[in-house]
Amino acid sequence: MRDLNGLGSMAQMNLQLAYQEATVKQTIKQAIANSSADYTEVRIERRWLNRVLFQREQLETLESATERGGVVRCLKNGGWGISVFNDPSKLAEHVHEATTMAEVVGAASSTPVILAAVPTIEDEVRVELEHDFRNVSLREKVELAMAYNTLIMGESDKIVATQVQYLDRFSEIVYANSEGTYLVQELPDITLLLGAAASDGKGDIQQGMEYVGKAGGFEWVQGMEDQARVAAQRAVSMLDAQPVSGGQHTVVLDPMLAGVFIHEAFGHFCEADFLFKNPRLADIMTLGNEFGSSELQVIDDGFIDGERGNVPYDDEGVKREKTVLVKDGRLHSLLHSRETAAKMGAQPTGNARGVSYEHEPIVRMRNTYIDNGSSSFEEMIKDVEHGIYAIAAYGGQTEFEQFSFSAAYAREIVNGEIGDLVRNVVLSGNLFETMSSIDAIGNDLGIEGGVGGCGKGGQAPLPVTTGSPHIRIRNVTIGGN
Amino acid sequence: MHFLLEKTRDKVGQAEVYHLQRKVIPVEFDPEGLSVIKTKQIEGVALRVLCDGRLGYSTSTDLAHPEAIVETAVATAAYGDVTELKFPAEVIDPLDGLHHSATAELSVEQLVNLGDEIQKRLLAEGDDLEVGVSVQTTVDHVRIANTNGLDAEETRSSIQVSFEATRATSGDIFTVSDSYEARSIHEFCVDDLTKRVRRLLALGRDVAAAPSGTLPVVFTPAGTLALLLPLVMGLSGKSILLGLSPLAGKLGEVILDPRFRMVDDSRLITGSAAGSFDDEGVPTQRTTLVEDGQLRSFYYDLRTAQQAGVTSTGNGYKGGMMGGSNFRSAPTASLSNLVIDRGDASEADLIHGIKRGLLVDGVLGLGQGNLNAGDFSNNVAAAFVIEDGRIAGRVKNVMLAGNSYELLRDHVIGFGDTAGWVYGKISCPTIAVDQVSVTAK
Repeated sequence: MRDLNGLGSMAQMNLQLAYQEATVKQTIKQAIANSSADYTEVRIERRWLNRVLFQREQLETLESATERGGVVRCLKNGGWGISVFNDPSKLAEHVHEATTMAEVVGAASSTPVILAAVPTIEDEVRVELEHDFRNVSLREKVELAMAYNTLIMGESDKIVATQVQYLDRFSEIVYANSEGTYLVQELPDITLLLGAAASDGKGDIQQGMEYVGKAGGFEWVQGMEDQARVAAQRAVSMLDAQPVSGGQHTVVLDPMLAGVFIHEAFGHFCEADFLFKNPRLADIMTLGNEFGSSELQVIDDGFIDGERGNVPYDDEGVKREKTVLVKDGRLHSLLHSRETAAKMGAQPTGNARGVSYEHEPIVRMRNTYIDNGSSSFEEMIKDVEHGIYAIAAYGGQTEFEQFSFSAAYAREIVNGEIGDLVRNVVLSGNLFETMSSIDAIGNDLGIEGGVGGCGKGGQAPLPVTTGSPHIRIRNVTIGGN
Repeated sequence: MHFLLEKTRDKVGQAEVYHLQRKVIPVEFDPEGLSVIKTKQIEGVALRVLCDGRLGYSTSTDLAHPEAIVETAVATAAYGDVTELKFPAEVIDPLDGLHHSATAELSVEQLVNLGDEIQKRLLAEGDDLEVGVSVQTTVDHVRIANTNGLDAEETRSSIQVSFEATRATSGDIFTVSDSYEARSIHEFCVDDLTKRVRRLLALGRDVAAAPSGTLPVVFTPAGTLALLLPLVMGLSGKSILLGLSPLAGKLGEVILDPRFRMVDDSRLITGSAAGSFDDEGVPTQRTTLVEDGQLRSFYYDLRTAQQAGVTSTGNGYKGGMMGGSNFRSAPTASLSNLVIDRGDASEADLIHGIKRGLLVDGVLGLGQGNLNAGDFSNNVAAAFVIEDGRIAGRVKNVMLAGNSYELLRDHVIGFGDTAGWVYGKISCPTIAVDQVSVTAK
């Protein structure tokens, strides 16, 4: 058979060549100049994606995708109109369409939208990857995933299923608005999931999972053999874990679960657009209000080298910054788009993000974490008579101040020592009570990229990271039998 | 489309093109009124090929460069999975009523008026309410052609309405939200929507102390998802093949309460997943999954069916377990419209028969817990305490836990006599079960 090694990337490069950058810039500038809207912005994205998924011995998915599309957002008489499309050659028509929609909204609206002023910027953000995954052949990507898959399958005869997924995505985003901002940005994203399922042969099935996610090169997904084995071993050992007993527990969260907690349960409340829809929460989320001990610091950072949540410029052309959400236990800032900032008399924070060209920007998080405190892990557990050490997250959901998260796995803490594995650990509670019950913050901050992303308003999965040191919380409700 | 097939014909054994043109017009109202109108026109193709028995797959929105799409698909096939997949050639038995042009072509002004009416009607349910509404029409034109002779196309349209009504008082916040989907605007009734909101707001006015223990729980249709999700996963032919389902090898056995009947019905046009063919061009059908509590069938896409040595049940859908058609993802075994039979008890009767328990209208954290084993564990989103057969107030911070298979087999109290649509694709009655673990803070 003919060696087709690398043809996938070549086909992708052909598309790239076919795309004339100069023409695009001219088309965009022209369409914006001819717009009759009060404010016009255009975002055009090209995206290349490769995915390899093994399930047990089967290569379930091997796919390669190319997308191109755009979104126009116009403001007319204070109302928004939006047009989403694939073919940028009819850009002028889409600007007209969005303007027509905006006129209808503007005419009906009693509270016209105002955008906070931001500097006009022209910039190009190109990335250089250490080992650029665009230069790695499909064959190599398949072989890498297959090798991890084989390792997991071979770790124990109790392994019944695997889920090993390699995914790379490279986006180039052109953004322009009628104020004169013109930006070109490249955003790389690479993730690897190493999942194992083990069975005792009597109907019980348990999982183990390890992963990595970076805004980086191919090197990040190489050399993960140990993690593959760990995932398999954990799935097997979870078969012997006892279900946790439901009730109130002292819980120590590891950096991964604590990071998911601060993102899901607290971070979303800091998104200013959410607060407009919820006046009572807006009251609670008043700057200066106390949420935790003076040791608690929560940050949302627009750029940490190599992390998935990086947004050099957001999808309104606002430059990144490091936003301090909680300073010394008190609410210090919210996350803003230009619209929410104007409404609340604040500064835009660079958090307006659209998950793709199919969506307008809404207020989203970036790299969100609890900053280091002073306790060591040993200090944190040494005086816990009976508690739970909850590690990593399988998922979570919040509705207002109620939250619910499952730990991927957990161990008992007995008389200050880490004990046996326990299963079915789902934590729930009231966010504000829980945050004020954090009584120890570790000094071992870890930032986690994960493999999926964040979802909001039908926009998912948006690459973000979450992070935290170990934290200890008193009186957490854990469901169980 | 045909150009893509022509391009591939000499390079591959078989090829299949899936082509989606979608037009969506969402009109959104925030509590202050009309906030944005969008128009979305998306067009993309997915090309699936078999070269020397190996599977390749590529997707693109760049229809101006078909040769690149073909090249990419063929390149992936060089390392693709070895399969004996055969794309279908059957002629489709078309399903009527999937496209109502009067609904699909509703003007922006008409959508604005409908949204405005819903918002005003909901606001009239209480002056302390904040109401957000979204109204949207979707028109999908799907075409599937393959080198085995199939060339099928269909237009499917619908109107979706969703809302969120929030009552915030000092120290408490209560949201009632729901979404409706209909083929025709004439099937949509604003009165039903306001009636449901009125009832829930009345039931939830006072917050009560939550009970703890092993208790009976009445799940409304919206609440049943917690119970049903493990079952939806366990019935997938893929889960059976992967050895992840406890239902493997149990065809013909009684696995659930004898009153339980569950059908996957992609030919039910009132369901949002209806179509004449699935996303692989396989003609759709009604598949009885469970009847009289007996396990009758699993559901399959082409590839899983081929591996299992059975025929596809027409359940090859793009977009994962819960569906949601798009051109991007490769088809996998997914349910279409899930229909669970009604019983003979009214919801009032079911509640009346309970001394101490819960009425659950929605849960948080769907998908949490060891679903493969049937375990669910969820915080409640909207739940009410039942005392002596009456609703005694709304409860918060309550965790539910249990095993779906055990609860639906051994502890069913009864099924409600009316059914409601959940997410537009699950039609199901109220289900009351005993022995649910309830943990309150």
